[in-house]
Amino acid sequence: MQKRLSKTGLILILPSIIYLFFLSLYPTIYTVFLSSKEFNLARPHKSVFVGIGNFIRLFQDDLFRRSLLNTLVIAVFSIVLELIFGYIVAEVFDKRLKGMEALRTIYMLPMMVTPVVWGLVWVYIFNPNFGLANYIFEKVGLGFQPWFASGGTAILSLILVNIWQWTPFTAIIFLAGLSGIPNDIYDAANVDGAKWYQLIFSVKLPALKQMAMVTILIRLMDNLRLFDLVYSTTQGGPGSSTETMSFFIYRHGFKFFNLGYSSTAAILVLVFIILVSQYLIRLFYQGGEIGE
Amino acid sequence: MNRRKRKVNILIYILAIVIVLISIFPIVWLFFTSFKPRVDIFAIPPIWLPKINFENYVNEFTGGSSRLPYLYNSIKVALFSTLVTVIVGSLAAYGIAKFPVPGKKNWEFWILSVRMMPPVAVVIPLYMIMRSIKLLDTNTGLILAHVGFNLPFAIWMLTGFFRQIPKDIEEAALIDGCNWYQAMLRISLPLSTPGLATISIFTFMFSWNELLAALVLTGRSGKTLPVAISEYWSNTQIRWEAMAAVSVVYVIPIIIVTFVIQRYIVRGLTLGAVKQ
Repeated sequence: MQKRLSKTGLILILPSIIYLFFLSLYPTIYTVFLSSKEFNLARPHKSVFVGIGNFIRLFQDDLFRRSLLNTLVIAVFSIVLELIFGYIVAEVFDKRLKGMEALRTIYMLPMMVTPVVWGLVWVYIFNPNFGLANYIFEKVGLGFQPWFASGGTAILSLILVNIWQWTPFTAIIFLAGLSGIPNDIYDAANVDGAKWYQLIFSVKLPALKQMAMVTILIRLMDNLRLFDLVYSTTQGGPGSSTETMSFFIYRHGFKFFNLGYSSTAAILVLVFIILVSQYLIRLFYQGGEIGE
Repeated sequence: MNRRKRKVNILIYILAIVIVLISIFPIVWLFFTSFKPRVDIFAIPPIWLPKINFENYVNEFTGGSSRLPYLYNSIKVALFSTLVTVIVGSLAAYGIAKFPVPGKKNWEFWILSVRMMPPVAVVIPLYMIMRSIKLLDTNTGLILAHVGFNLPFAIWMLTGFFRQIPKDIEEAALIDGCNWYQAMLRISLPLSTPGLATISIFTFMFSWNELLAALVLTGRSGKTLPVAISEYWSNTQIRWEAMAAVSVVYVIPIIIVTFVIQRYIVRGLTLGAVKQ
């Protein structure tokens, strides 16, 4: 009986496993294979085996190093600020007042709506000559800003949009955490005469630690593969000021058709993400019943 | 004391409204822009409240260069990839949740790992595969890719939903002479309808919003609307009013969907790690 049941179970999950094998595992192996070759789609018959040649070339490639650095800068600044703003927003939305639920849902729209659309809207708002941002900036005396149009400010603008789009994510997770704190803890703190800042630092923030960890890891992975936003705003420019790892891979693969070299970079991103994700998955399982 | 409390509440309301305004202001601006004639796009000072005028919509969705076929592509791809994902995924989830499958934890672990894979690392070999089986620039090819991206998510989340169904109910059905698939069809699936609906909506949304695979795997006739929207960018003279009109049409379903699944958004986006 037990044996028959386990056989039925296996039959049920088999289609998914085969599917995922062909659409995930096989492509990964294929990427490793391609990375050992000098392979250009424009000249597919002239592919040459180069071993780890692509990797050596990649590590000497200034543009790749730049894309790595940019990705990390975007990730770190975005995540830190999202955590801070997210906490503040969560505190505001945590007050159980009439209509708060509706406001909360509207607030989530930036992370739900198609990223390409956001990218383009922000390019329009940030247009140096006729954009809304500069109009307002000049009205309040902050002066002209080049936004996406200059190498110095493009990456800052990108981070700004990123934060704007994803703070809701951090906020609603923290919100779930705050509403999970039992009321008697607040009562006890009140009786003890705890000040509001004591409440924040010794009750709320410790209670949010685990959630902050999950948020950081998920957002880190999002940022490591950041593509849509870059594609729809700066396309890596001006110069290479906003080139990210994903965009580097895309550009080499599908603009220059250099699939071998592009695969090499893809593998590095993959390794990065595997390291982060294994840690994240362990966190998922640590919760025991988490995921149910 | 009470007066002070009311003051605090008013302050909280004001803060909440300011936060919401910052967050949705770009979308409001998008709606406004979509109604503006071309000359008003570059107006300084900006025109805040344009007259309602659907000319841009009519221009972009009728005639020779209509974007309608790409909208159809998006609908087809999202719909069919969701259908396949949910059917195949719920079978697997049911197997994991209810049967003593050997090596279960390892399969789960692997499925979750696949979910974390960056699409950009997979998209190159996918392109080669689709090229060799002649599915480049077709809806089918993109559907296959999207199913691959979303299947791990669906399995993982649905397993959670199926586990919540008490074992006794199903065991009672089995004792009454049901097969396991009768038990699944008549008891477990109906009981997890909210879960199935939520997962379907999420899967639909992921596919609807997806850009990278659509960009790489489709070119002309098979492209989805996000690709078509991104093409407004590449023109030297961006037609903002046209871009806005097309985007508004594309974004409205997502806004509706957000309200429908609001209770599950946290859960879905954190793979069930955080519940609201």
